[in-house]
Amino acid sequence: MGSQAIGGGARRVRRAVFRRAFVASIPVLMGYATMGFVAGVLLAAKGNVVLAPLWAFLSGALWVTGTLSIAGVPEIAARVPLATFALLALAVNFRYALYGFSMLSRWRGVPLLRKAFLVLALADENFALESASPYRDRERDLLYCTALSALNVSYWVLGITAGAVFVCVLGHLVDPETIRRHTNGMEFSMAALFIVILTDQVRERIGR
Amino acid sequence: MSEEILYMSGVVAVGFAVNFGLRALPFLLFAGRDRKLPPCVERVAAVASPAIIACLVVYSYAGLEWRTRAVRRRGARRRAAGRDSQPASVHRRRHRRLHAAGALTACL
Repeated sequence: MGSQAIGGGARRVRRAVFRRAFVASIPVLMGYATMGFVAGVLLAAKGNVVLAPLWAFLSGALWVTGTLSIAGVPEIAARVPLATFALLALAVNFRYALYGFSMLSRWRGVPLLRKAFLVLALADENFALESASPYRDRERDLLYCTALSALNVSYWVLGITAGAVFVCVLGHLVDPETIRRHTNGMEFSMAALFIVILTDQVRERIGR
Repeated sequence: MSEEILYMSGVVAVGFAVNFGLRALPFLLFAGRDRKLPPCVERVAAVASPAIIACLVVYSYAGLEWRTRAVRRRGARRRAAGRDSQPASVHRRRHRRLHAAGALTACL
């Protein structure tokens, strides 16, 4: 009976933390669903690849980065060598190397697999939300970070896959060249994303 | 088709390796150390992130299509007349930007 009460209490705490993480992730849902959709549409319409939804899903789940997913499309279409693609990935995502420094002490002693997932999901928005975690208690903080990471990654993967599937379905009904013409200008979303992140970071530094 | 699948698998693998490697770098560098981070590392972590994103803003604006449809059509006519080769020029421009972004990142 006692252990049941403790188990029920732990479950209640977990549910409360998850609910809080979900509420915090709603703005990211709006951004990731839209940006992911655009990235998926770009990959399928302009990447010139077969099985675009599969690559969209894999790149979404394994890269978890909007920057490379959008900036890499022209390079994929041009079939650049893998070394050049690696250089592009390094150039556009170098900032990720700096995010980990803030999490070193917070994630010390976390089991390897869980830590690997947290590290994989350490994108701009995730970093911003996790560094502003409302929990000081280590267990709840880790639970909050894991829930946030899982939610945000799932939004991104769903968005990018849906975009690629959308173009593939539409491609059977409409001429692919028409889709390509009508998706001109979507590249602007990358510039918009960078400006928003830069504004946030500058505001954060000014407010410090 | 199989070549394309192989190429895309390579792209996904390279992207994963670079992204995960970059994110895991601090954890690998300071694995198992309890001491405080050196002040210079903290300073770099605070300054470099907005600086890199500012570079990315410039990089992404450089790749946008600013020309109107009429100007694009004129360019297409020039290419058809053999006076300009678009794929080569686009490729050169893109690579110059890529190398500039890489150099900037290295400097930072």
